[in-house]
Amino acid sequence: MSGEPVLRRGVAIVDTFAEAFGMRAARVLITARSNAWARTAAQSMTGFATSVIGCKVEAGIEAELLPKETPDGRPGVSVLLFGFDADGLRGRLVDRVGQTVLTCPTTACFDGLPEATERVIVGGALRHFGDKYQASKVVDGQRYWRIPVMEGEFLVQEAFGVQRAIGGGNFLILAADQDAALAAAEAAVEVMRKVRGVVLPFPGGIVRAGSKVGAKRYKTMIASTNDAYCPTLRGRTDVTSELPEGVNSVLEIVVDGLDRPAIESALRAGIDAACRPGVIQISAGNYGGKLGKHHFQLHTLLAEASA
Amino acid sequence: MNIRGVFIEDTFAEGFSMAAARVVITAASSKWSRAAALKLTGFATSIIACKCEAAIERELTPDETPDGRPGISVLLFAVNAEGVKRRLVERIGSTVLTCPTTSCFDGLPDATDRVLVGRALAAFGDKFQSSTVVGGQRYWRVPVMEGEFLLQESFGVQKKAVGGGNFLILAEDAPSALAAAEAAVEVMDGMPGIILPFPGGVVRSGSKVGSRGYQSMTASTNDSYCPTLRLTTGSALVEGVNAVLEIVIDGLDADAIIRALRAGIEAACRPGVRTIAAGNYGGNLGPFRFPLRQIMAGGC
Repeated sequence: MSGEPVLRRGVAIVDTFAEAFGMRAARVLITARSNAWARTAAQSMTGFATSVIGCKVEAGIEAELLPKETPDGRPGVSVLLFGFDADGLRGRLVDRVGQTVLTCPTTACFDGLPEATERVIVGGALRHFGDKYQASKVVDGQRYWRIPVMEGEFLVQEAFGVQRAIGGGNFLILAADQDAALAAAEAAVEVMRKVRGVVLPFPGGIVRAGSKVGAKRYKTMIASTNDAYCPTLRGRTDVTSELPEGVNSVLEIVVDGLDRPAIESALRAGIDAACRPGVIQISAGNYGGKLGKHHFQLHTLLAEASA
Repeated sequence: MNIRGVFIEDTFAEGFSMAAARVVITAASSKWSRAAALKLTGFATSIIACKCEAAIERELTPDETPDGRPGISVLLFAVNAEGVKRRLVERIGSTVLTCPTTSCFDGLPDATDRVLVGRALAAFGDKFQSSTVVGGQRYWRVPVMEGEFLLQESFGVQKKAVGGGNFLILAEDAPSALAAAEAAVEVMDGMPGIILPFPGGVVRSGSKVGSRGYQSMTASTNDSYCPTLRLTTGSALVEGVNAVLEIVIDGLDADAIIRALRAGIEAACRPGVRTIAAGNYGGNLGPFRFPLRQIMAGGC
C-alpha cells in the first residue's frame, strides 16, 4: 500500500496490486449434440482443478459456444486449462479429455488455440484407446482422429495449442458482513464470466480461504490460512490484522487468463460490480512483488476504465 | 426374457470391492453446496486415472442436514480406506474449504472404520483452529477470510462398498440409445447409496482389459461392442444394433446397486432399444455378480 485509496460508489479501492504468475494454457472446445451434454463433459473435466499445487492444473469453463462458433457446427463449450509448463499441460489434457470427454455421449473435442505455435499431442495419445481400429484424416493441415467407441466414434484433434498465460490475478472484497461480501462476489462473478480469455477456477468463482506462503506454526505446511485477513482472529496479540474496523468478512476472486488484457478486463469489470452497499474496501493479494512477474495495479485498472 | 419388447440378455454385471465415504456439504443456499460438490466430484470417473470415483448422491433438505442448512451428499470411492482418506483431504481442501459459506460433515456416522480427514485439513488454520466435541464427535473450526470453515474430524469408511455395477443399452441408433440412457439416469439419480460417476451418468466408451494392438495399454476400446467395427472384429452386436451406451454404478453395498440396476433397466426399456446386456470379465476379476434376469424378476 502506498498512496491514498480511491473511492468508487463509497468503496475504498486500496492502492495496491494483484501479483500473478506466468503459466501455460490450453483451450479445449467440446461440442455435442446438445449444449447440456457439452456442458456436462466440461463440468466433469474442470472439477478438482482449483489450484495447480493441489490439483496439478487450474481449469474452468470459459464460455458457451453457439453452433456457428464451433468447428463442427454443433453447440459447444470452451474450457481453459492452466499448468506450469507445456509438458504438464499435455499430461493433464490426456488424463482429463480421456476420462471426461472421450467417455461422454455425443461429444467431439477440438483445439481452441489454432494460432499457437507450441503444440502438444493429445488426440495423438488418446487414439491408442482405439486399439489400432482408429483412423485419421488431415483437414486444412490439422490431423483429426476417429476413435471407435460403443456409441459410434469419438472425434478428437491430434494436437492442441499451448500459449503463455497468466495465473493468479485476483482481488479481495472486504465487507461489513458475510452476506454483503457474498452478494458483491456473486455480482463480480456474473460480469467476469462474460469476459473471453479468462476462467475463475474456484467453486462458483469465489475463494474464501486466502492463504499465506508457508505457516508460522507448522514447519511442513507450504501454505496456511492468511491470518491477517481472518476476521475471527482480529484482536489476538499474535496476529497483525490487515482488516480495518468494520470489516467482518472477506472473499477473493481469482482469475486465470490467456493474456494480460483479458485479466485486466475481467478485474476491471469485477471490481466495478463488487462496489456495492456493505463493501468497505477492495484490495488485492500480493507477495510484495517478489514471486510473480505480472502486477495488476488496482488504481491503474480503474483509471483506464473511467478514461 | 423381454421387457416391453426389449430382450434382457442372460448375463451378469461384475462388480469390485471398494471403500467409500459419504461427504455431506451444507451451505447458505443449495447453489453453494452444489457448486462445491460439482468441483469436488469432477475428474473422478474411473479409479485408475483419477485415483477415485465420485459423484453427487442427492440434494438434502435442511431437515436432513447436521446444521439445518440446505445441503448435498457426495459419495467417494477408492480402493481402500487410506485411499479414501487421501482423496478426501486433497479434494475437500481444494474445493470445499475454499468455497463460500460451506461446512462439511461425515455422512456415514454408523461406520466403525474412520479416517481423520478434518484433523489433517484443520492444519490449514496454522494452529489458530479450534475444536469442540458434540455428541461424541469432534468438529474443527478453521479460520478463513470469510469467517470460519466448520468440518468434522473423522469420516466413516464403508469397506463393503461395490464399484463397477453396470448395464449396457443396445439400440437401433444413437438417439434411441441416448434417450434410453437419459431415462435410466433420471430414475437412478438421487437413489440413496449409489452414484453414477461418469459425465451425466452415461459412458459411451466401454473398454476391454488390455489391448491387441499396443502392449503398454491396460485398457482399450471394447471393439466387439463398437458398431463401426462390426465387419472387422468379432462383434457381439446383433443385426440392427447401431449404438451402445453403458451406465456404471458404484454403491455403498450390493443391495443399493441391485435396486438401482432394477430401476435403471426398467426405465431404459424404451422404443428403439433392442437388448439390455452387462459388462463382465467372465467372473474372474470381481467378487460381485449382478445377474440381470434374476434382478429384473425381482430376485437377488
